[in-house]
Amino acid sequence: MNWWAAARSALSFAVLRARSNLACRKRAGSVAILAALALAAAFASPPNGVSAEPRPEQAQTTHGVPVRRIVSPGGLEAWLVSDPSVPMLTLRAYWRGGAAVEPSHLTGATGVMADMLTEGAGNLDANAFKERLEELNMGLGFSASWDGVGMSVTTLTENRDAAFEMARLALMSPRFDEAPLARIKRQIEVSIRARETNAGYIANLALDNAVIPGHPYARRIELANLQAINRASLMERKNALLARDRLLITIVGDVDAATAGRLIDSTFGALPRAGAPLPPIPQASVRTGQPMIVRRLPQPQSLILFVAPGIQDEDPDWIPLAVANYILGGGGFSSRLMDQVREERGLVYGISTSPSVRDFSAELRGSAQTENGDVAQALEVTRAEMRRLYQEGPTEAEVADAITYMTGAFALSLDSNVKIASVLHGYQVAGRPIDYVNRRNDLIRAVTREDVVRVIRRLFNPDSFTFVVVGQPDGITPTQ
Amino acid sequence: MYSSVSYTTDRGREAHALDVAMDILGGSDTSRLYRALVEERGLAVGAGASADTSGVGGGSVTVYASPSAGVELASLEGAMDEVVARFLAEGPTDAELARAKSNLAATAIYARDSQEQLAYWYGSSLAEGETLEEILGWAEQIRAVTREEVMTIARRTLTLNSSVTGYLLPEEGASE
Repeated sequence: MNWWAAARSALSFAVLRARSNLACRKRAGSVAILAALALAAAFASPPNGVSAEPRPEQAQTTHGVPVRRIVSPGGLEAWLVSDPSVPMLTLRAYWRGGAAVEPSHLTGATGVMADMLTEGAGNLDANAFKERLEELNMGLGFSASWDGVGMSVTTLTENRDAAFEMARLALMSPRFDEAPLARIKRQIEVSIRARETNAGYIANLALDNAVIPGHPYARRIELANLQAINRASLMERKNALLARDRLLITIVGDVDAATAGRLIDSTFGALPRAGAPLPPIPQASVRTGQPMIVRRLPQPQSLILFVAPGIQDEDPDWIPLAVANYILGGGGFSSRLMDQVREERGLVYGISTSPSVRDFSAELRGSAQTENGDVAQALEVTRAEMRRLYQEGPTEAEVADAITYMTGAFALSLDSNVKIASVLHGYQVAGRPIDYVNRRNDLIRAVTREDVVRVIRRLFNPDSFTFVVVGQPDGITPTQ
Repeated sequence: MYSSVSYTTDRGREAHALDVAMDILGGSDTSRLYRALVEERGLAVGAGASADTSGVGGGSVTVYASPSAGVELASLEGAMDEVVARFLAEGPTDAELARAKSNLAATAIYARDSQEQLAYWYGSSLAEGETLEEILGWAEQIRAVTREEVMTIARRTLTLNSSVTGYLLPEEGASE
């Protein structure tokens, strides 16, 4: 790996193509940022466990993020951070309405549409378009999630206007040519065939069917859906979804307000004022404590997932939940589950929990990976630890440590234009006020042990969780 | 996978030229491998190449492809070798060379956006024996790479006699 590979991959959004319905992302930002810097560390920690996260003591946020709301001459609103220190800028846009609102005959079309927006536009076919992106040293990408369609533009200041012209072209004049469409469908076909041996896919599908059966979030793309996707369906989804009345924009970097307003108007100003009305999606009522599920997959390890009903991020208990989750399973090597299940007993390589929020569902999710022979004991210890926390609550020290880490580590998620744009845009999409980024640490510092106990009693009842095991676990009897 | 020079073991601009060569051969969706195998022939769903030019004792080059449904790995491997052979015979076009150099050089600016990436870049380069001047001059040296340098290092590196090939296959008897 060369040092520049990371910088490069940040531009290659094509690599990140989130195939909607295959791997739908959680709502951008809100969860990942608030609850779980540490979570991310837990998920990403190497199984050999060398990740001792630095824990800044008493870190105070003295430098706020100078974010402000601007309105373009054409009337489009955006959040802006002007910072000329590096000659580059980045824009994130998001349209509410994603794969979950697809009519069933268009299943999968939103994700393919998003991918196809960078496969040729105007006079440029797919190859010419991508060559031009490279000539401009820019990144341009679109991706669909369950709840919306996201867009990202990153460019050097010197190529700024030409880069945003490419973004405009992709949005306004995509070609949706046959050859790149056939290629993308071929790529998705391979992933559909491969997913039947993917433990994560099998486990998530089993859980969705157990706790939110019939909800749009439990839907997956099938080969027949894929075959049905054509140019007309891509056009239909683009026209229905990519309109100005549901658009959220964040722009960060070497750009002043006047220029930002001009770029926003030139890029988005010609989109339809209003898209199709978004069909109502019911708020999923997540079932509690369903019988244990076991799915056999021939492999030496098992994947364990567990889920319980959670709360939406508008809930007043959301921030105490972030602290509670850190203590149970969010804090990497500081969490009770990691300490007891991995460190004390060596039963798993990793174990973690996190709140998972989408527009129409709120869950608490956990995961662990272990050898087939250790599954039964890992489950037993996990449940016992959850019960102990539920009955006894956390110690004052655990609450204080969680707050110290979560507030101190926040600065590390704001140390570049690209990261600031991600964090702010996540808050914007989650419907937070614009100053939330500068208030977030104070809100966490205000959390008391009583708050944490309340949220644990409300949400962490071990009997609320439904477990699924995928692999060849020893001594586990499925109850369904 | 082929063995190669690294920034520590190379002479002159060899490692820079190798990074440029691999970018053209397989660094993006406009690369030779992706275009030929994924777009034109439809044999693969993904294909590319990358150089790891960071080792103290030398580096390596990886060329990879994942087959489309129903494509045999042996025929895909043959097609990969054809693309590589053609690249070695023809060399890059002027446009390919310019794009690759400009893109690599631009990463030096994007890296400045991230404290972590800057620290990683400087720290790993210094640890591998490079000087501050070499690090600061990296983008300039990338821009200076010539077509001849690209061809020389590509021909020296991409020889099948110093390569090893791996297939990832399902378990015997496992269902499709």
